[in-house]
Amino acid sequence: MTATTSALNDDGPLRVVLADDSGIFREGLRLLLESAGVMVLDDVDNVPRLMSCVARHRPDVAIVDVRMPPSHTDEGVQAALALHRDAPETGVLLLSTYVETSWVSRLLEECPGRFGYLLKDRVDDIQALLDALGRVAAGGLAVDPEVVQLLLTAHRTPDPLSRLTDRERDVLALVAQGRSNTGIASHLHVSPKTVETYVAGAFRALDLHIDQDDNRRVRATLAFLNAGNSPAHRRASKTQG
Amino acid sequence: MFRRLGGPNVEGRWARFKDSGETRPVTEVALPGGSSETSGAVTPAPARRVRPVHQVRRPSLWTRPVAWGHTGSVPNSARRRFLATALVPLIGLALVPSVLAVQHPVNALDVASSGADLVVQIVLTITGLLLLRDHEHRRSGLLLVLAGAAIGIADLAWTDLALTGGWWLQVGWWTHWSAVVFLLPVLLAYPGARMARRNHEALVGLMALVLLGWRGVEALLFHPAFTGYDGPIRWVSLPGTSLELYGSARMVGVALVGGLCVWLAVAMIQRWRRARSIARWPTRMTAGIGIALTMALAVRVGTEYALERGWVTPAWADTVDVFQQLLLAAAPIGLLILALRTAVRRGAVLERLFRAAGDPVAVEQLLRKELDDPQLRLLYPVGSFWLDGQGAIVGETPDPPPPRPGRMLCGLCSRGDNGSSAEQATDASTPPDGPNVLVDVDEQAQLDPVRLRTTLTATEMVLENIRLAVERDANAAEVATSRTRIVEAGMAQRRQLERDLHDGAQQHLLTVATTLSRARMAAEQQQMRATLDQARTQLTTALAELRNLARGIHPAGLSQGGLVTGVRGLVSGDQDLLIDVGPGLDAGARAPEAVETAAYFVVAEAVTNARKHADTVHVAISMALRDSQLQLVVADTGVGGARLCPGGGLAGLADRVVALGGTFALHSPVGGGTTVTVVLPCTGAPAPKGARGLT
Repeated sequence: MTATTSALNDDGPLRVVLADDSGIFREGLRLLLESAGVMVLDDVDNVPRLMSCVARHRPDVAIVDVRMPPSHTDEGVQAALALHRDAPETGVLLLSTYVETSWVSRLLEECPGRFGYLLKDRVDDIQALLDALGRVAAGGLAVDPEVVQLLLTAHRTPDPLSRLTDRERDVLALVAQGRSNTGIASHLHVSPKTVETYVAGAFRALDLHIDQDDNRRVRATLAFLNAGNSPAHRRASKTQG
Repeated sequence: MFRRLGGPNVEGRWARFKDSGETRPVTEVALPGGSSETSGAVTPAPARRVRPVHQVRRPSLWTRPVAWGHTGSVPNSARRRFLATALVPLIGLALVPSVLAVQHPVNALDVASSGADLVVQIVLTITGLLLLRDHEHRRSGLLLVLAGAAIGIADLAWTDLALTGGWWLQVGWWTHWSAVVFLLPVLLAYPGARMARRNHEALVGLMALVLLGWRGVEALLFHPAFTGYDGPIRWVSLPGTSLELYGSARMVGVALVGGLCVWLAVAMIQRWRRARSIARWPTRMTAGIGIALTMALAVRVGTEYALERGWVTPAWADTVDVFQQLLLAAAPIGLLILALRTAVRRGAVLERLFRAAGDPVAVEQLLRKELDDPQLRLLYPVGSFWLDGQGAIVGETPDPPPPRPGRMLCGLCSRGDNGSSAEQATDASTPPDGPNVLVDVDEQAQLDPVRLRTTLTATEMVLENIRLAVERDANAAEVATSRTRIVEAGMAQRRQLERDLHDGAQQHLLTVATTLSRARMAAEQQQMRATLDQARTQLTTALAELRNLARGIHPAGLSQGGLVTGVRGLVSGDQDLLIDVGPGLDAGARAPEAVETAAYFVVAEAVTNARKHADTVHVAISMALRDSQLQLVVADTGVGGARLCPGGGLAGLADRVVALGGTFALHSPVGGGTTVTVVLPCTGAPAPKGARGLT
């Protein structure tokens, strides 16, 4: 099965740990991942255990829930930052019940790679989950389409994005999710060359100058989209409008 | 007493008889104090006259506690009647000699002296009667009335009666200084009820001994016959006395009075310097009067000594006497001013209190000013607590709190039946029902007990008003805080509900999603996979609905990222919406959670209304956190005409905002758009620390 194969990296099956304070969800996710060929080394219900567990197992990816004890607000985000500092070889895939864009920019600043941010709902699509895990384990980025969508629509007029064609905008959204040109091409059922043209056109229109390195262009795109939320940009757009 | 002083008033009297053509022989009387002076022809300006004084000292008056003082009780009507029946004839009788003396003057100076005596006597009597109204000053009042009477008795020496025989001249001469003896305890005590120092009591006792006792001895050592007089005047003399003996006794008297004058001056200056608190002004006034009186006495004895030694002429001594009389006149006038001031003041206090009644703070300010005590506090029993005028708790038991050092607590009762309750608590015993209000006052206020009592009694008359006002304010504050607590509790419940949803139903459904996902992986048949995909889609819808529900109950982004994040999440994707983040919030500052939540829901409701009802094109949200206030404006360019209707979403939010101590304003003219303005105070605890940082 393709799912099983994609769960393998060069050294064998993907090794992950789970951190979520809901035991039943942890169990369900563990079963799902294991049936997809992912090796779940351990599952824990709080941040301190996650840290020691990561230190012990050195997994490829830690799947971390955003809301965990004690305050049930953003412990997972703090844990992601701590893991990036303490265990840089371990990727972090954050799972969140809600779409929350406010952390993304800071997380992207702090974590140049090995980072993903998905809605928990994605667990119903094992392919998307494995795809994101694979990208994070390979040192890339994986951002939920809904988060990207939110950043795109939150952008205000006069909007540089309005200078893009619909197709260019679709491609840009996929770029922001962390997909490669090839991945985008297969997703849109077009040739990689066409995708390259769209991406180049979009970047030109947005005055973004970036090379083909996936992570850098994803981060640049996200940062650009995210800038729509920054006060400076908003004021500027207000005065213009 | 306030007449010019001199030797026994024989010569003047005689002169008058001589001038009136009576057959009585004119006796030239030598001055007992100046025996060297020959008793020549009577001069129009009489030489010094000395009047013997006799007054039995009654030590009981200033050692025995006056029965109706300091007991807190008010003399009953029988005692009042006794006082009236005893005092009125005394006053009446005492006036007679002065009136007689004025009616039959020897010369112009005599008229002036007698007239002045009469005025002084009347002033002292009026002052005494004024003081009698307050039981603390009853002793002083009585002494002043007696002083007035003593002046009248001393004036016996100036009446025709004195020359027609009897002992009148001797009695008048003897009692010449008696008024001073009565005045001194008043001057050393006022505005207190009695003299506070033992040495002052000793001083007054010695003064009485010298001015009455020794002067009595002098009177007994003198006899008119020494001057060659042989008339109808009767004089009691000790056997074997002589002019020389009398002269020596006189000098001893002069020395004694001189010595006591020094002591008196020191005592009065000390009193002036020690005057403090509310008693400062009246104490200094009486001390000033006392100093004037001392100077008058000193001038008198000094002149007498100088005359004896032949240092000055009698004419010069007369001039000095005028000066001395002016000094003496200060006493009754000063005392009258003090008594009138007290009387006027208490009416004014009452009026001001009535004007301020209903405002506990104003009443407190008034009492602070009136009792010259900037730390004065009114303490009110509310429930089982004691509150001060600002509503702060000062005692947490039903019993009154202990007084602070150097201060005392006076209990006030609006139910007081005789206005005496102010003192009942002064000695720390509370009335049976407990005081309605306590006054925390400087102990030094007791230095002027009448002012303290009358001020507190006047306060009792408006007590019910101020007590009710404090209770009302305390209740209002309690209602406001309980409303805030209820709103905060409601928000905490919503937060808990959202968490329960998140931890419970949402996680279970997500687990179902993982299971479905596994099932789909394992499914062999195409049809089975299609069915599982369908179930997956349905589950996604259910999860989305649940998520929206949870967000409506309590937005997770609000707790995590603060108001700005929460609002951005709320309106994300809305192209026609402008968010302006003002000072404070743009730097990442957080308001207390209850405030943030209330503000969030106001924005949510206003935006929803704008979208739903207002045919709006643009909505602008403006938020700022400055001066510990969260300021929030949501404006749209819609049709306007919005109203707060009971049970409506905005009305509920307005209630919530007001319950948190904020203000809610809705401006929505028809056709003019809708603007909701909310100001929320941020005085409570800020949002949880863990929620900060990532914005």
